[in-house]
Amino acid sequence: MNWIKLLYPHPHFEMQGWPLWIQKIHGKAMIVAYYIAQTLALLGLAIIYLALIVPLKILSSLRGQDLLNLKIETQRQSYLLKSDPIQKIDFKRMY
Amino acid sequence: MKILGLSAFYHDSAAALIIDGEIIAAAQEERFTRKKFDSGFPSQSIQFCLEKAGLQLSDLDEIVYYEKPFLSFERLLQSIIATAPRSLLTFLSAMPIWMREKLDTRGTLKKKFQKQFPGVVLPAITFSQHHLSHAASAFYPSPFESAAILCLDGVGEWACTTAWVGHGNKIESLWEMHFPHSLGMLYSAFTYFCGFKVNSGEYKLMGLAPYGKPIFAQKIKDNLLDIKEDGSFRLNMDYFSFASSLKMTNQKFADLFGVEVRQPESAMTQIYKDLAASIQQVTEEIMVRLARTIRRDSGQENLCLSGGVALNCVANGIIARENIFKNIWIQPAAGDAGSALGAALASYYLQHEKTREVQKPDSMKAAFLGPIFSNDEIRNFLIEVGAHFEELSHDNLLQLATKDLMDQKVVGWFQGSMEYGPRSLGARSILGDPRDPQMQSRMNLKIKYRESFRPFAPIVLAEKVSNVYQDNFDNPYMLLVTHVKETHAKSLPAVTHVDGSARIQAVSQNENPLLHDLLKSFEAATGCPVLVNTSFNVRGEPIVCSPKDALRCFIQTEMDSLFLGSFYLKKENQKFSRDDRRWRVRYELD
Repeated sequence: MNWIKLLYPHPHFEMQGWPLWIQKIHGKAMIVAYYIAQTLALLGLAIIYLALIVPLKILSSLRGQDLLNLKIETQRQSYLLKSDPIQKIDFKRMY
Repeated sequence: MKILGLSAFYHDSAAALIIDGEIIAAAQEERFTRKKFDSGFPSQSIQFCLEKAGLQLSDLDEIVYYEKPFLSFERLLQSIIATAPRSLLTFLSAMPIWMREKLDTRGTLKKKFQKQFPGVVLPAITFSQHHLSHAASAFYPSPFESAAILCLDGVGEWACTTAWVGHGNKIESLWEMHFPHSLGMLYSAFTYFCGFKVNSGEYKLMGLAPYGKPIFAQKIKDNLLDIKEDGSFRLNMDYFSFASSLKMTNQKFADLFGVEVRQPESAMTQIYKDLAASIQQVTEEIMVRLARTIRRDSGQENLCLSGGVALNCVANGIIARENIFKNIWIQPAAGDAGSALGAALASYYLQHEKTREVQKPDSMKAAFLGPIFSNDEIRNFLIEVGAHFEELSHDNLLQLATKDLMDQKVVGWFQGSMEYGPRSLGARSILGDPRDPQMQSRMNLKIKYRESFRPFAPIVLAEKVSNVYQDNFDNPYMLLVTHVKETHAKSLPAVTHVDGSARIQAVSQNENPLLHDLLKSFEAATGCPVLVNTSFNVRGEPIVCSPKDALRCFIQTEMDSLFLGSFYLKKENQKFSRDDRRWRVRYELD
């Protein structure tokens, strides 16, 4: 896969305000700056992944947790889960 | 009370408007932007809904989004942690989008609305739950006072399969299954493996299945999942990678079947047909078991179905034939687009506790909830672009359309309000003579530019269904597959699949009088109460919405004539130049 497509699935340059002026003045320089900024942001995300996600995974493995209930349990009668009552749903909340 | 429901930012964005519980308008954004499964903010759909009702945004009492974004984010994060370090690429590709717009969906919606309607005071923005939206879209418009509700899709927040019971204006939850153990994802994994696009190619896999033999069904059940008697199951995630990467399956999956992932547009070999037949059989088995379980647990004799998997009309037909339930009603916009409507209905009946009046045959208005164009608008457009047309009376229109169809011509049919949902139900359709043995390949290769194996669906006079087909289901939305009677198998080659099945749409006088009249006229002339009906578009293009879209599609394909409202256009009379390569540039292959 093209790395640009992977990192920037929806590249766009619909800028407003000062970036627009800089783009007008500097042309392609702004595009380069955009990609540099995005690349730095992705590097930051990669660091977060290594510093947070990977240790959490190690921790859950050490505790023997099955976060996604992946274990096949052939002796079990059913995999159905009891649903929460609908009264618990609060339309005002995003959770 | 005026409520706008929204589905957006995943795939197939849509808006739906209800006023005091009545469904007023609903449309998918793709129809306006001409971008298939457009996932953006549905600004044009919203504009259409408001205009149809003669409302301003400030007149609304509430805007309801179809799911809970925080719960979806929790599922994403938990999946990423559980599958680390393989999930690095998923993390890097998903996080920027979530941070930018999806996590604070309320803020994003406010910004989008304020950009589109500057200075307007926004009504409250609330949030339903993904599967509750599906359940509400299936139950509230149904003709049932009470029913069991089964929702099956890829994934919502956590739930992939849910069971509910509806009584009057209430819905109660029963049970559910969680990600990654998803029937929708399982089917999509095979869709991907057979070289089709996930979230759009599933119906191609279903159409491919009758060409194969289910020789891998047992292998799938032995290795890929553990199915219980009640239809619940767990996937063996050793074979799948959708929880951790941008692909659906892994090398172990390919090794199991001894074949690699089929490249899109490459030759379709028998093994992929057999895989399609096998996964279709497993899907049917699971759906039938789940239907039996919800019948037992709910005690209901009516069933409502929704969620993307409920578009699997072959499996739906089997559930209907098994007589597990007395009656079945399936939401025609069963995918996520329909959740916009479901979200609005869920809020109206569950949050605001309004009373519900059941309507027969249902309250979907035959799914004709989209834009409509008057004859004046169409005439002005045709004059403006210099098209050669003829204005017809109702009787002349039927006469000419019947004659064209009898002459084996392919006819564009643009009448009334556009359909809501993925199926063309006779408002934006391409019609043909089902008796013509060449019609299927001609329509596939020269009109639709799509794969030659794909079948076409018949539309049938509702009162004549049992004369031609084995089952007399109440089937106005083309969501149940039945089989043609042996006496008619050879006389309807264009709409009979290789296994004798047909995805019929029963057309009644009440729901679509003009199309019903056309079918009657065709029957009077030929003795055949059936026509070929396919969506008015080319491959990769959303179904046409406006007269402009219809004329463009008509000109760029080998369609012979077009009935645009009361206006008749013959291809040979038009002066537009046809370049059939243009659609390939304009629309990405689906």
